[in-house]
Amino acid sequence: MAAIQLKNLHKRYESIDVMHQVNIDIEDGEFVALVGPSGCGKSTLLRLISGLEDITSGEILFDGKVVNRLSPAEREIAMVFQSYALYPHMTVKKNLSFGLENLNMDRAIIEERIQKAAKLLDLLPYMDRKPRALSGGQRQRVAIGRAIVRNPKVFLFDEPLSNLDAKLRVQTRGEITKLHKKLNTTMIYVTHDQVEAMTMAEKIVVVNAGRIEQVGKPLDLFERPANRFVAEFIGSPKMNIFQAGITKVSDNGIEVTSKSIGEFSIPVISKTAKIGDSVTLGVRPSHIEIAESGIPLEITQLECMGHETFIYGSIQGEKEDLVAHLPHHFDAEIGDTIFLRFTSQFMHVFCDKTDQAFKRIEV
Amino acid sequence: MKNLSAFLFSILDKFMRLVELPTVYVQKKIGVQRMGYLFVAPNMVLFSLFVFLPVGLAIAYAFTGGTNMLIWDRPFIGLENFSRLLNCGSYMDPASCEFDLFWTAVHNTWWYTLLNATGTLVMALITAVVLNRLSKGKALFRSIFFYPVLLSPVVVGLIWKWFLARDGLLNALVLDLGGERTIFLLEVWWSRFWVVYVSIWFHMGFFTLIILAGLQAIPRDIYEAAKVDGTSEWRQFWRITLPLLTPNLLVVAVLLLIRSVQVFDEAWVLTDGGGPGTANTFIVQFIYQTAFSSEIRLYGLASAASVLMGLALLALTLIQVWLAKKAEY
Amino acid sequence: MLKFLTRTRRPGKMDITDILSWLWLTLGTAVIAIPIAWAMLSSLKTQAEVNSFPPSLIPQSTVSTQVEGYDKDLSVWEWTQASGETKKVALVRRIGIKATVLDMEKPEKTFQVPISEITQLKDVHFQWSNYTDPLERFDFFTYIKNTVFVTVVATILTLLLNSMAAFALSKYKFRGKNAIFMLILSTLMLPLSVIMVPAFIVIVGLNLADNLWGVIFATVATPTGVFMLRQYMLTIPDDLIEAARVDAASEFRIYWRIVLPLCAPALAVLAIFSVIWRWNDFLWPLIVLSSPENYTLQIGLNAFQGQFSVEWHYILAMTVIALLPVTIVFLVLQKYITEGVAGSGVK
Ligand SMILES: Nc1ncnc2c1ncn2[C@@H]1O[C@H](COP(=O)(O)OP(=O)(O)OP(=O)(O)O)[C@@H](O)[C@H]1O
Ligand SMILES: [Mg+2]
Repeated sequence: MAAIQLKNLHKRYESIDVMHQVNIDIEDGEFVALVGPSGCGKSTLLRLISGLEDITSGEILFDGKVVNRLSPAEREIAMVFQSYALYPHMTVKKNLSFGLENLNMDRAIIEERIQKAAKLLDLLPYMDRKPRALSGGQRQRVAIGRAIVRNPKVFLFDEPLSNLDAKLRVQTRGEITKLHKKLNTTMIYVTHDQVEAMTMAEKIVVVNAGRIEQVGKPLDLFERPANRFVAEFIGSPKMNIFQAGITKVSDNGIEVTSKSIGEFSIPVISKTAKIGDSVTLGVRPSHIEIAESGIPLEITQLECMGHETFIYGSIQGEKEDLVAHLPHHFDAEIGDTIFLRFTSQFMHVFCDKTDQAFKRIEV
Repeated sequence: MKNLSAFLFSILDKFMRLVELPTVYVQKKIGVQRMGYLFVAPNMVLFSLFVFLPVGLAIAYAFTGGTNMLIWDRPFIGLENFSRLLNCGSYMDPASCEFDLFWTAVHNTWWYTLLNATGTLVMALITAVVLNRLSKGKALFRSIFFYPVLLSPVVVGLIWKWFLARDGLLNALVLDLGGERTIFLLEVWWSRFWVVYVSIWFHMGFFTLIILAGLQAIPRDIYEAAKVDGTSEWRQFWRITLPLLTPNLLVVAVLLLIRSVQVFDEAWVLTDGGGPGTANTFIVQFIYQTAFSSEIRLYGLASAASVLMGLALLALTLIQVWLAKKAEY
Repeated sequence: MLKFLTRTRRPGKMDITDILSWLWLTLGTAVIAIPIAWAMLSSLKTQAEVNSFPPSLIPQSTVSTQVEGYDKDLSVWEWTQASGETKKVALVRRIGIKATVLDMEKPEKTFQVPISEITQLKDVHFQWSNYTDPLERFDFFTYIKNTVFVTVVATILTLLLNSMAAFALSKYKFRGKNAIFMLILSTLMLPLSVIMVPAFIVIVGLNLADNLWGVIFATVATPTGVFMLRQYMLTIPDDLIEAARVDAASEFRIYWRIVLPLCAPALAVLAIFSVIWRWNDFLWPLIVLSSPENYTLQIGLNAFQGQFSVEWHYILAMTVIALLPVTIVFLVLQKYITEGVAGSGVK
C-alpha cells in the first residue's frame, strides 16, 4: 500500500508535450479514477506512474520516496491492461506464476499465492487452459489475478472493462469495487466511461489535453465543476449552455442577461466579476422544470422510458438544441411548444475569458 | 519422454538464468530502452566483421599491389590494378588485353547472363501461367518445379555431369535415335549450351514461384469481366495478364541479371573449373582463381575485379529498387 | 492421374490450351525428374555396370553359381540353341569366339558353344556398398560429421542472434535504430562473391582459416532472418512486453520467455531455410576450408569427384546422400517452404 504524489510531472515525446505540470495527491488505499476524452493522456499518466515510461521532468513519490528512476517491479505496482495482455503461450497457472518466478520466490509460496488468488477469482477450473480457450470475462479475471498474486502496493487499471459486454461490465465493476474494499490497496483506474468513474471511485481526476482540470469526489465534480470543461464532461446528457452578459454585481451574487432565456440572479462569489463581462450559463438537464409559462421550447424529439423522459427541443435564438430530463412520465407530441423554468441556484456561471466557474455561495 | 523434455528444459532455463545475470546488470546501468543496443550487438559485430569491414578492405586492397596478405605490408599503387585489368587493345577481343582471362570471363559472363536471364524468365513465366490455370494439383506441380532450387550446386553439377557423360543416358538416347555419341562437356559450344541449360533447370522454380505470386495478386474479377466479353484465353494473356504483370516481371528480370552475373558454383562443378579451356570461365571464377588458387595470390587484382563487379551489381540493384518502387505505384 | 492432370477450370471440355498446358507440365516434370532419378538409379549399380555402355535402366548384376569341382563361382548364361530351345549354362572359360560351358543340370560334362549363342543372365541387384564404402574407405564420414556440425550450430546461432537483433529492432526505442535497420537491410544486396577475398582475409586475421567456426561465424548473421523475424515480432502486441516488465521480468527474460516462444512459427521457417542454406553452402566453405579433415560434404564431394573422376558409383552415391536431407525436409515441409519463398522472395 502506498500514497502517491505527482509533483510538476511533465512528459514530452520528441517535440510534443503530452503532460503539462501535473500535480496529484493520492492517499493510501484510495480508489482514484482518471477520466477524460480520448487522447488526453490518461494512459500516458498511468504509464508514467507505473514506470513503463520515463518522465521528462518532475517527481513521482511513493510513500514520500522519489521513485522516478525505479522500474515497475521495483515500484511494486501491478497493472491490468485494456487488452489484458495475457501471455498466450502460457497456461492460466503459468500466467499467474510468471511474475513470482521472476522474483525467484519459493515454489511453495508461489503455489500458495496463486491458489489463493484463483479461489478468490473463481479461476480454479481453468488453471491448465491457455488464454485462447477462455471467454472475455475469464481472461479479465486472469488479468486481475496476475495483478493480485504479487501483493502490489498499487493497482493500475487501464480501461479494464472496455472489452466486455454491457452486462458483464456492470458485474465486474461491482467485483473490482469489492476487491478494493477487501484488499484496501491504492487503485488507479483509467476509464472514459464516466458512469464507471462516478460509481466506483472515491476520487476522480479529470484530464484534458495533458492537464489536470479538476480533482475531486464524484459528486463534487457534478455539483461544483471548477470550469466549463469539467461541467460539460461530467454528467449525461451534457449540460445545456447559453451565452449571457453580467448586468449587475453584488455581494449576494451576480445578475446575468441572456438574449434567449432572459434574466437570472445567481448566488455566486462575485469578486472577479465585472459588469459587461460575457459569461456562459450552464444548466443541467435534470435541473430543468416544466412550467405554465417561462422559456418557450419547441419539441423536436422525445424519449419516453416510462419512469423518465428526455425532451429535446430548440429555443429561439439558440443554435444548439436543449435537453431536459424529467424524472417522470410526460405527455407531449413532437412539434408542441412547452414552457421551461430554470432554477437559478442550480445554474453554473463560467467566465468566458478563463473558462473558470464562479464559485457557488454555499448555504 | 515428456519428463525428459521437461528436464532438459529446466536445465536450459537454469543456464539462461546464468546468462541473464550480466544482462540484468547492464540493464540497470543503461536503462530499458537502450537494451536494444545489447540485443543488436552480436549481429552487428558479425555484420561488421564479415560484411562492412570486407567492403572497406575490398576497396583498400584494390589500390595495393604485391602478394602480401596483411594490408600494412602492401604497397599503395593507386589505380594500377584497374588500369591493368582494363588495359585492352579492343574490349571486343580478349586476346588483345593484358589480362585476357579477365576479359574472356567478362565476355563469357555477358553471354551467359543474357541467355540465362532470358531463358529463365521465359520458362518461368510460361510455367507460372500454366500453374496458375490449374484448379487442382497446383501445389503438387509447384513443389515439383521448385524442388531443384533446394539442391546444392555440387549435387546439381554432378547429376548433370553424369547425365551428359560419355557413357551417360543422353548419349544412349542420342545413339538410339541414330545420332552421334558426343562428349558434350568437352565441346565449346555444347558445354556453353549445357551450362545455361542446367542453370535454368536449377533456378527456374524460384522465379516461377515469384511470378506465380504476382499472378495470383491479379484480381479475379478482371478475368471474369473479360470472360463475359468472350475474350479468348490467348488474348486474355496478351491483353490483361502480361500488362498487369509487367512491373513484377521487370523486377524479376533485374533480379535474374544480378544473380546471373554471379554465376560460379554449379558451372564450376559441371565444367571441371570452367572448361573446356576457358569456354566457361566466369568473373567470379576469375576472382577466385586470382586470389586463392593460383601460385601467386594477387589479392589486389582480385579485389579490383571484385570492385568492378560490385559496381555493376550496384547499378543493377539501384535499377531494381527503382523498379520495385514503381511497381508499388 | 491423367484425369487429375487434365482437370482445368472448365471441367469436361478440353481445348488446345489445356492440352498444351498439360504437355508443358508433363514435359517439365520429366525434365526435372529424369536426371535425378537417373543419378539415383545409377548410384545403386556396380562399378562395372556404371561403366558399361549402353547403360541398363535398372541396377542389375550378373548371376553366378557354385559348381562342384570349381574353386570360383561360375557366371550363369542363357544358351539359345539352333533349334530355338533355351538352356541355362555356366561359363567355365572363354577362348576367342568359343565358350566352354557346362550344363547346370549335368555339371560333370563341359562342352563348347559359339559366344554369339549365349547371353549373360542378370537380376536386379542394389549395390549398397556404394554407400557404405566411401564412408569407410574415404573421408566421407568426416565430411558428413562436419556438415552436420556446421548446419546444426549455425542454425541455432542464426535463430538466436537474428531473433535478438529483430527483437531490438521491433520493440525498443533507441538512437540509431533506423540507421542500423537500413544498414542490415543493405547487406541483403551485397553478395558474397563481391567480398569473398577480403572476407577471407578477415577470417585469416581472426585465425579461423581452415576452421569450421570460420564457416559458421560468417554465415549466422543473415539480413533475411532479421527482416523476417522483425516483421513477425511487430505483430506481437507491445502490451505483452510491458505486462512482463510489470511482472518483474528482465529484458533478457522477456526475450527468452515471452518473445522467443511467441515467434515459434517464424523461427521454424527460418530454421528450415537455415538448415538448407548451410547444408548446401559451397563457395564460402570452399574458400575457408583447406584440409580434407575439415571439409564439409559439398566440398569433400567436389574434391573427390575431381580426384577420383572415374569412381562414378561412389560419386553418385555420395551425391544422393548430399541431396537426401534437403529432399526429406522438402517433402515434409514443402508448404512452408514454397509459401515462405513466395512470401518473402528469399531462397
Ligand atoms: N509514443 C508516443 N509518441 C508520441 N506521442 C504519443 C506516444 N504515446 C502517446 N502519444 C500521444 O500522447 C497523447 C496521449 O495519449 P494516451 O494514450 O495517453 O491517451 P488516452 O487518454 O489514453 O486516450 P484513449 O482514451 O484513447 O486511450 C496522444 O495525443 C498520443 O498521440
Ligand atoms: Mg488509453
